[in-house]
Amino acid sequence: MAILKITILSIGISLGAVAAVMAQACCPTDSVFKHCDLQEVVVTEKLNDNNALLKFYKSHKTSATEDVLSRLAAVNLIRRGNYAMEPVIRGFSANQIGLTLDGIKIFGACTDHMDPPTSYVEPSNLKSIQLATNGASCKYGSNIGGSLNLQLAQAQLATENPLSGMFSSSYAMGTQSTNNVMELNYGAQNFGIRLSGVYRKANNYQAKNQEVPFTQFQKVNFSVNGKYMLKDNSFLSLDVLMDDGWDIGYAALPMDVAFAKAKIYALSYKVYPKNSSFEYFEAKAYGNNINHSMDDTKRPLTPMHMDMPGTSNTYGAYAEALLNWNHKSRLTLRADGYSNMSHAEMTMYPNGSTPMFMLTWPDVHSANIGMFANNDYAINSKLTFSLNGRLDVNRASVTSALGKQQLNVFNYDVDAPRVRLLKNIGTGLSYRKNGYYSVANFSYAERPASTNELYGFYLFNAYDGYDYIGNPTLKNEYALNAELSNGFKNAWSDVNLTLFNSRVYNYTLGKYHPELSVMTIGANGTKIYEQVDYATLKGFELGLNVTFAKHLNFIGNLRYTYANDYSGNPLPMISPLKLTGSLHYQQKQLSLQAESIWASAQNRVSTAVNEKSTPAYALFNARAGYNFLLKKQRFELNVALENIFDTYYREHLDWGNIPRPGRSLITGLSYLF
Amino acid sequence: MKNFFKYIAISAVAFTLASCSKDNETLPFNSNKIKIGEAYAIGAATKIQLWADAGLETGYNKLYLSAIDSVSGQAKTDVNFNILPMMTMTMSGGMKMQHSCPFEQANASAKKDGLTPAAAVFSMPTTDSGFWEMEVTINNKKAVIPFSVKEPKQSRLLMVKSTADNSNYLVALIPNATYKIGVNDFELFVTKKINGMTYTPADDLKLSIEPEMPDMGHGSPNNVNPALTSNGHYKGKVNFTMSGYWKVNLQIKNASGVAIAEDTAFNITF
Ligand SMILES: [Cu+2]
Ligand SMILES: [Cu+2]
Repeated sequence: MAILKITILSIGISLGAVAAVMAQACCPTDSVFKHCDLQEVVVTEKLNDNNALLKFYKSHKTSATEDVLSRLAAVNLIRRGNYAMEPVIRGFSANQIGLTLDGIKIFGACTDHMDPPTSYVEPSNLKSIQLATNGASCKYGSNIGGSLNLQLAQAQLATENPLSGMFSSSYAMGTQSTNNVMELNYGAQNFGIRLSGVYRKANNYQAKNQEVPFTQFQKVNFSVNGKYMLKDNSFLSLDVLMDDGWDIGYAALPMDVAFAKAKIYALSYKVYPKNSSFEYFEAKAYGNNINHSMDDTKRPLTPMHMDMPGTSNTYGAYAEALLNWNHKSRLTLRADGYSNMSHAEMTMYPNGSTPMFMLTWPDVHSANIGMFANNDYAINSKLTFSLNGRLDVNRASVTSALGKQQLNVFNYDVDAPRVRLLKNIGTGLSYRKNGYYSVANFSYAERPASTNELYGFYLFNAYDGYDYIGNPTLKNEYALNAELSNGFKNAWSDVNLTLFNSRVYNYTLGKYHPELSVMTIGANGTKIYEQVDYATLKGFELGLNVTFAKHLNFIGNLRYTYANDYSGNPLPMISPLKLTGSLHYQQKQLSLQAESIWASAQNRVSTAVNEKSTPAYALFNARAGYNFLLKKQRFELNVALENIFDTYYREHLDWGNIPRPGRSLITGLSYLF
Repeated sequence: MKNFFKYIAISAVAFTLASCSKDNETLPFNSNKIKIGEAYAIGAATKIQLWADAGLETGYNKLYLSAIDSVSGQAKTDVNFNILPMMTMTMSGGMKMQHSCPFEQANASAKKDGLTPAAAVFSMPTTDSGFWEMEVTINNKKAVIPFSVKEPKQSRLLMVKSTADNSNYLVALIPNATYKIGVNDFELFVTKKINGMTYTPADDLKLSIEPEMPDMGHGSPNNVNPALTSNGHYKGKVNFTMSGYWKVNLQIKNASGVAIAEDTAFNITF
């Protein structure tokens, strides 16, 4: 997995003394593949290290996963509330992109995308976030628009001090929120255990001194990793992660969430064979159970109370190996499979009449078996050629009689399972010389259709105000992707410009059917998922990291995507030109950060989904950190003023004209040991 | 002669009492049907039994008939039944009045499991002032079986007075015991009232349906309008996208395309 562009972002704190790789190079520096281009950003924070790049991505010790994701140039977030934002990669979202947790496939249990898998994971659970665009993104599953793999943090073994950890707590005045993070590591000689815990509570925040209702939430997250060294070079690892959110407001939706719960667990075995051409071999079995329940009881204007619970249970396994054939070729092989059951239902309670019931996800079973291979071949010391491919057999079926009967209303025959072959192939060429590098990638990619797209039954989309009906006859959506990345890097600067162009065929979207009556009271109409010829998405990302002086550093990125359907109409949910820049100063115990985020107006909107244009905005944040020893104990004090000028703004991907938080003073204290 | 009849009657009662404990064994079939009532066809030495799928209700009811030889206690197999449902009403002045209702005559050739099917559309329930009887004739001998009819929770019968020619139609929904979310059979039996004793199948109507959930104000797609199959029967499909209370609106047009009834509907809750 070398040549293709992957951004790896380490966000955890490396506990203990185990060497954290600070190298910026993508590949082991002693390998012939050092010319390969991974644009790898490894920013592991050590105990008393304040790394500017880490600060850029993770501006607070108690930052949420979404805060980190939003600073990746290729990632934007769909925001429905002050919680569980949904990642978009270069204009691709939902089933167009891959989201995995350490290779674990997770499907949310909400029909309305209120719980993307990233919402069940905290930065304190993680070691890094791996963003892959173009071909290499299919390692963990078929997708057409890129993938995010969140790598779980593992216990450190044989640490200097057996016990190490961190407690961090912060309070934000403007958002009236408290965020508390705990990380603990116990590292014995051949055994380690790592615990992390998070508690967050937010009340409604303010924007321009106005309370924004339904922006509150509460959540608890807890994770354990146990790692046991069987032999010098083989490990057993057990992960258990529990995430429990409740009383979550979704200001942009007509209802909130009573609870959103996830249980995620995995057992893996990894061996680094000695004297073998296999660099490593890993096998993992996993499962996750997601429970979601919406809540409309706090909304004053609800015309009729309804219950909308959903469950999603996924079980899967994979095996992966990296093989060094010879000093010129590296081969990654991966085989994986999963099985998911999704059920969602709706019961409505009219006053003085009979309750009404339907399945919104009609007991859908999705199963997938796939194989992935990537080979990097070093043509010479400057040039690397890479080829990868993935083949999936994807099967979807409606398992209950009730579910089938429902879909018969639309004359769909869903008695037989829907089996599709998904093919992905990618190739890349990279050139690297004297700090200059250039990478070209091309890929053909197919993706599976989502449960919503295939079998969804009157799913209300608050964005355009339409009810959506699935369509089991959809063809595979597929894409041709091209990406060109050029950069230069030396001791004090790192500049990168990436251009991308994708053409998506059988582009899937809802088509209005005026003859269908709506289910949701007040909806604008009913749409059925259909496909148009194609759509194009193109744009660029510019990244800059400059060290001006020994203690002064600027990191920033600029992003832009331009997207049209086949007839030239703009696609919805496309971020305008957006600039994120951070100036960071570090001297001894003190660190200062000034951050500015600027976005242009987005007037290219999709009329098909009633999208509204979004005005430009500029945002300024300032943060300071001071770390000190108190009775030989290490503490860090943080103060931040977010949205200094109390700008009233929203991002283009925010739903429902809901403003973002206004000015907020955040104070935090951390204890590290 | 009078004594003779008396003797027969007494012995018949005795026989009935003696055999009542093994009533089930004398049934000509294994059945999940409910016995509605029974009576002797006087002079035919035969007991007539009236069965149904469920308790009788206003609207369309499938009925089944069987005959038992009152001497041998054995089921009689080659019997031709003729039914006539009759209601007797006591009017406010004490005057009695009788009328029938639309029905489908017993059909011996459709006999199954020893039961001869028939059907009736009871136009009103049994009340303090009115009772139902089924007159069943075999070989010109009549048995009169009393039975009672209840009003269902939701009406399955529409009485339509044509705005075009003042004639009266009875539109009966043939009950579907298993309404479900999804595609459902929707069958109607429509008759035109000639007089209180005579109803003829109405075969020349154009029916269209439009289901809606009044609590939410939505409908459902891809419904199939009931079309004539035979003898006043119209078959179609109704689609329910969720469970609960549905109102199936019905529009009826006569042969010349004139709407004879609008704002008529069946309520279905499941
Ligand atoms: Cu939800
Ligand atoms: Cu409804």
